Amino acid sequence: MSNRWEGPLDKVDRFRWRIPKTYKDGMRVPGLIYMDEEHIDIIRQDKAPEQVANAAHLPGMVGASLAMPDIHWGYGFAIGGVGATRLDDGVISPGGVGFDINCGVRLLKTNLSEEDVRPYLDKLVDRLFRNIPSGVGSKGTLVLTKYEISEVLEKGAAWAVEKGYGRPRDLDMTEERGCMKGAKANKVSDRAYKRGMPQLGTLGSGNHFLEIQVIDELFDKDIAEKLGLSEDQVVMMIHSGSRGLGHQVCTDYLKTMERAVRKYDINIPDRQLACAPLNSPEGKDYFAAMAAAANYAWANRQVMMHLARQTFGEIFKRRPEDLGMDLIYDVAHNIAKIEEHVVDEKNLRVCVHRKGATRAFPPGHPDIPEEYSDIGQPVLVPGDMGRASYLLVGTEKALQETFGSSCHGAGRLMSRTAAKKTTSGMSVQSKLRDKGIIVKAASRGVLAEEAPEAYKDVNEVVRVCHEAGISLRVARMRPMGVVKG
Amino acid sequence: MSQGYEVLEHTADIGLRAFGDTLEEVFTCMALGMISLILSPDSHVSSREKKHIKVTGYDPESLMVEWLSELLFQIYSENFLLSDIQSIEIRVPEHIPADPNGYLVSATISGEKFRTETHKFDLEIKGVTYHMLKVERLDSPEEEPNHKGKWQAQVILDI
Repeated sequence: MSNRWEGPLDKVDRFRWRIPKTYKDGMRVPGLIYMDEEHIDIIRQDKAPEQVANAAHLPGMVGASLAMPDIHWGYGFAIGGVGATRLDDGVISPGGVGFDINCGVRLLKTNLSEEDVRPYLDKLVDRLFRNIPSGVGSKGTLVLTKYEISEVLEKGAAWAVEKGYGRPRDLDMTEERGCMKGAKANKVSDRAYKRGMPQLGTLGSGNHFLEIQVIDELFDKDIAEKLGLSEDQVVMMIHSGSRGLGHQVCTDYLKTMERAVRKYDINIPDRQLACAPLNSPEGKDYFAAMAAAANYAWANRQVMMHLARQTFGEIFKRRPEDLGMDLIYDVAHNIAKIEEHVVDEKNLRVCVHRKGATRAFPPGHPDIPEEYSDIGQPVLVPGDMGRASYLLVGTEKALQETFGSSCHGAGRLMSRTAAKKTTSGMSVQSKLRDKGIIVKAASRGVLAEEAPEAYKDVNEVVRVCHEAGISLRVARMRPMGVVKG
Repeated sequence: MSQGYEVLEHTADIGLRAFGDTLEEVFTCMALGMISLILSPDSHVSSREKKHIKVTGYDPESLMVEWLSELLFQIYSENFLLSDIQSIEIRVPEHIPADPNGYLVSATISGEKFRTETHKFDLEIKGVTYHMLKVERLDSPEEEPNHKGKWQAQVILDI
């Protein structure tokens, strides 16, 4: 069966392609995909553009149904999809967020160079693997009571800092300061609590990872300097989400939304886009539960960062504070948020769904840390484990065009089963070792699924974002050591 | 019954297609297909415990999503691994009004609690999607390529 998409993609300019509103009856806004001419054919290889057009049907959509250059075929929204809905007559859809609520990335620096770390790399990867639980169904060393989970759901990363997992400054460097307003622990089901209780501080599996990286190229030396980054400096990236708790919240509310679609007589072309009006009880409850799951994810990454700092301290026999392990930033890339944007030349509060897309606010925006007010919000883009990851910053152009959003990763090219057929975990591991990259994973299958060739080239994805102006390249990081779930 | 399911490829996720001569058979095959993705092939699950589960839905499709979501909850939260479906009955409403509890599946599942010595997870399924979801009765199954029954279902799972 061919999955090739043959719909209309009108070229707007070198980096922008429009799916006209006339493509399907019921589209409320056009689709707009960010991609360059050389790669536009890749996105026709599956039905992701159809999902961009489907999302354009959601009631209250404004501007355009957007897709970032790492767009690929998902469910509901395409992965890499962004859509904003009006608060008064618009909807919120779990299909525009995903099962892994507030899956996201954080980046912290060290004052170590590649030369400092290289002799300890094997040991470091080994110890990180041991200290930070990973893999399917992984359980943490922290087993929380129901009451404690309810605190995590309402306080987010601040809960972890209060308990000694990190420092107050970490919160300043986290999107939403690690705690989304409007979270209500009582909108999260007992089932979701049950899944979340043993999992705080665990990585999970699949594409989630901990990576020791070294900065191998700087694109903007001034901004890098302001961030305290230079070439050859070692940094660490953590990619994880809200674990079973978030998955269960999405599952529970998909059911609620299935009912809401009938109750409010909403016409959608795909059941995975099931939604409810933002001002309905169902819509409000989902938002409160989603925000609570997002807070769990921020606490989760905060706890893991603390464990990673301690691990570095153990290996280098120094206090983590003396290793310069400051958090650069933490971003969410699966989330819906209430934000103010200019729509048709008017300020409007909207619900921005980012499904595999990163917020990319410009310098001077009130929602970014004061320290970054002259450089813009750091945008963290993890690539595959053989190539690179990037640090970019948000721009005014992103704010004007994409509700302040940019790409979130490389985007898959090959299905996981196809990747497993072309390579084995052993071979991926030994090839990476030849390149000086040490990888440890809970399962060999995951290594094959996550083989570098299963992904698009992150360098190209980031170049398109940079050239289109929706975020600007600051630094490229090359992986040295990887822990996979 | 031969293995009544197959794995479908999807860029970011994974799919399953199941077959059967009855709706009950398709639901059974889908459940067994899903547990086979989750556990490593050398994990042996005994049938020492039994559980009764019940879920409802608007139509066969939402019933399938609820059924598989319930099993995921049993597996990941209750640590109850599925070995087989002992008995299964599906109630189809006589009229098809918009009743969220119109369709009902009532089943006894067997299995045992997860034990690290004998069981290993291979895959974490985050959730069951409505994307490309199908539960259908084939009008002329003989004409379908590789047909394996009168009913066919397809599900994409987020992994």
